[in-house]
Amino acid sequence: MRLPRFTLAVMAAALFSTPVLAERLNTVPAITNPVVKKECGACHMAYQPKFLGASTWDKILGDLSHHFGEDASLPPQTVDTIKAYYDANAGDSLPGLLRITQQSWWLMRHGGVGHTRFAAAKSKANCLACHKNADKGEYPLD
Amino acid sequence: MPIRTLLTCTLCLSFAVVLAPAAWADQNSAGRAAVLAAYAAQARKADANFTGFSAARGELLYSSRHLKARRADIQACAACHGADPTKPGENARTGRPIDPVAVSANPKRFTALENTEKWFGRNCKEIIGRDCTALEKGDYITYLQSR
Repeated sequence: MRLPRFTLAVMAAALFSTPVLAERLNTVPAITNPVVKKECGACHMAYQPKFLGASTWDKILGDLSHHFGEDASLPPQTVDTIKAYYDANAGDSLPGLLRITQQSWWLMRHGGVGHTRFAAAKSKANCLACHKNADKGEYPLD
Repeated sequence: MPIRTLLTCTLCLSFAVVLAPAAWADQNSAGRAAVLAAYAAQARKADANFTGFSAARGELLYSSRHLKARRADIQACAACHGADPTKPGENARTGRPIDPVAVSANPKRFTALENTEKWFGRNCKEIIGRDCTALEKGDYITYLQSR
């Protein structure tokens, strides 16, 4: 009686933390669009579309003048180009959480990373501080 | 009289032929001159007494702390671009490296008006707390062109 319940709990936990998705995210397709590379990579690394769902990207790109506390506004036609690229290459995520660093798989994978390492990276947005080839879509486990 | 005109024309043409390659050789300088000319025209419109841009005023703008900055921890151009603009900088929020902003170290700086305007548009609001004037933009470029 106890064992099946435990098994069920493990299965439920596995479902909710979406380890399948996390496993897939060791590598993601690199960004190939030059406009996306230039504009999205101007202040931080250009994050690959696979990390969030299309509706979440749309929300982020729909309000670039309030971009996580920064005015990152761009001409409308540039935003359209970027939006089309992100929509076409998006992954899956639950609606609501806009930050990649708020996603359950991200939190699970970075749970063991200490404050000093994040402090040295300046920001959790700075993937390249630890993942040397993050801009190429490579996030190997270290 | 026609002979004089002909001579003048020939002189002009030969000058053009001699000088043109030099101009092509430095497209960056030409682009920057055009950007500065656009700001000079705006500055003249705003103030009839405008006499020119100043590297000294630009340096002051670059290195000063601006108390109206949107963030208390990022109050100067130098916060991201570095105290020495000939060295690479780093985005103070994200840690992303920034190519040097001084023209001597990065000749492509300020060579396209659209791109230059994009960055003044974002960073002036962020650091100075308002849009920069054409005079301030021209001073800034003139300073970084001298570095």
